[in-house]
Amino acid sequence: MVEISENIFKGWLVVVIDDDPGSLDVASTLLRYAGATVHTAQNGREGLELVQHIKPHLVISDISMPVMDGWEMIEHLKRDSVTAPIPIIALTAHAMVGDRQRAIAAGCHNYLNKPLTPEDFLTGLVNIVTDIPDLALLLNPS
Amino acid sequence: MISRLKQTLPRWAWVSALVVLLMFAGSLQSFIKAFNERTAITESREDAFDTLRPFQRLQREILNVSVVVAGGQTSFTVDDLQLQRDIVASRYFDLNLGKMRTRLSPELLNVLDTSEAQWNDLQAQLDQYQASGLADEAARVALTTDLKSMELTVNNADNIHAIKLDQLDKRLVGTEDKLYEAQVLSIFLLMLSIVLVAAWIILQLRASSHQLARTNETLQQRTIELDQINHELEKANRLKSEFLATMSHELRTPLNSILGYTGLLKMGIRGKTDEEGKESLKAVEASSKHLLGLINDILDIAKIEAGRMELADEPFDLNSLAHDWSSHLKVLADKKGLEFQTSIDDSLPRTLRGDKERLTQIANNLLSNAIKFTDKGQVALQIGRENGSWTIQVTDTGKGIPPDAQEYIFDEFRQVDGNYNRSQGGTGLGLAIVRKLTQAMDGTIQLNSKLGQGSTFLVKLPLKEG
Repeated sequence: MVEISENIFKGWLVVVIDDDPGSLDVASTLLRYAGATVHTAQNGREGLELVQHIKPHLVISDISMPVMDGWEMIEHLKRDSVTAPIPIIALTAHAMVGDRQRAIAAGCHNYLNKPLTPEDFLTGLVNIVTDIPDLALLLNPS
Repeated sequence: MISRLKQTLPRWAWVSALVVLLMFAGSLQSFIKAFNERTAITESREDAFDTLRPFQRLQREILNVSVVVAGGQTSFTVDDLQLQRDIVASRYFDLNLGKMRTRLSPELLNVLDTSEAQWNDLQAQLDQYQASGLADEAARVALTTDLKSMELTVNNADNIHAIKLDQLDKRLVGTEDKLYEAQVLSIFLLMLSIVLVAAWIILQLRASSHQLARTNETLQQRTIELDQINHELEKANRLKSEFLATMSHELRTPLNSILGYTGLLKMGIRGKTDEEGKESLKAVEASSKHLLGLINDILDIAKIEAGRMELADEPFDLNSLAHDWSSHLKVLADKKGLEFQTSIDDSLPRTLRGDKERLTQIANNLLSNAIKFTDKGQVALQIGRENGSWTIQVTDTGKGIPPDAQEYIFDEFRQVDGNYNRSQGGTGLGLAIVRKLTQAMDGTIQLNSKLGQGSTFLVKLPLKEG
């Protein structure tokens, strides 16, 4: 278990995509609290353009969204050789059987289930990132 | 049998069967009549021959007398004539015997009597001719003439017989024709019966094949209807699942914001909160988590009821799983100052197969319930073995469950006091989920409880080695 510090994501560029303003605000606030530079989008199309433009270290995205949903956005990102290597973590309120497998199959690196308390969100995120060698090196334990 | 036939046979079949039967009886009767007639005619013919023969013999002997008379002394002696006369007399004797006379018709009797009278009239002349030593020429001529006339009389018997036989023959031919007709009619009726029976059988077969076709049609219709119903049910089930997924998503999304902002405030990331405010935030968080628990439990129950609960069938290590359960729950027991015991039957295989997550859900619900309702004493988790099953037994020294409550304790939203309230905390769905999960795993759950002494929940599950 990695200790959560205020600077654990220092220097990280993270894109958070969610159509629920509250969820988006909480997630980006927590990531900024943990030291990351956060860019946000409210649907798949905006998110796609944002990711293609700034090429972040990590993408955290909701799945059910208007205009373009998460599945389609992930498909576009994984098809583009530039954006394909960027890890995507699905953050969704879908809790039905098979949703997790579907997210992984679509190209998500992992999956976080809403709702989450801030502690659970950060702990879960750090645990997932620890499993990604390139990103694990970038963590800043206090 | 008859009454069954009456039901199955149509009216026309009864009518034609009756007609054929009557006609058959008629033809039989006429056959018998013709047969009897033929027998009678044959007998009459024999009778006729019986009477014809003695007349013919008589005729022959009278001719012989004529020959002797005509031959005269040159050819015959007196004794010859006498012998011949005796023979004729004996023929008349034969014909006049009582038996024979009764069989003769009046015409024949007339022939007999007339000729005999003529014969008797000749006796004197014959005596005279004999006395002359068969030499009296005049007597010979007179006798010859008289004998000739007598022959003619007797000849009538021939004619009478011939006429009678001719009539009998004609009648016989008619009777034979009638017999033949009766036979032909019988054969025809027999064939007609066969045709009628065949027609009846064919109609029956056609009727039953029609019925079969109708039944088939109905069945096909049913199948189509069932398919439609099935289709609609599948659609309804899919809609229900979709509704559940959507509802779950829609409820979780705002809850995420509530938990998130509460956390941010508590952590001091978003503004400063004093101690009193932080206490309130803890209450908000607890309520939110309770709401999340409810949402999860309701979703679980709905999934199980919709048959969408997909149970994993993976190997797991029993010891480490039980350890996880007890270490997690021991914290809660410690908080209330309860003793927490764990035991595992050594004879159980180390590795079992099943759904680890759902087993954990069962154990957690039972253990947290036991801790919740026990104020002093102990809570024990025993993993045991029973025939082809393995068991999860949770025993507590709590206040126990009254008998009437034991019946509804597994129902949704019911606690021991029987009210739909949350006086004891929890979602009120824990035991309902435990029972449904146990049933989904082909297991059973038993409850033994005595007021004031505690409760024992025993879950039996099929033992599947990993």
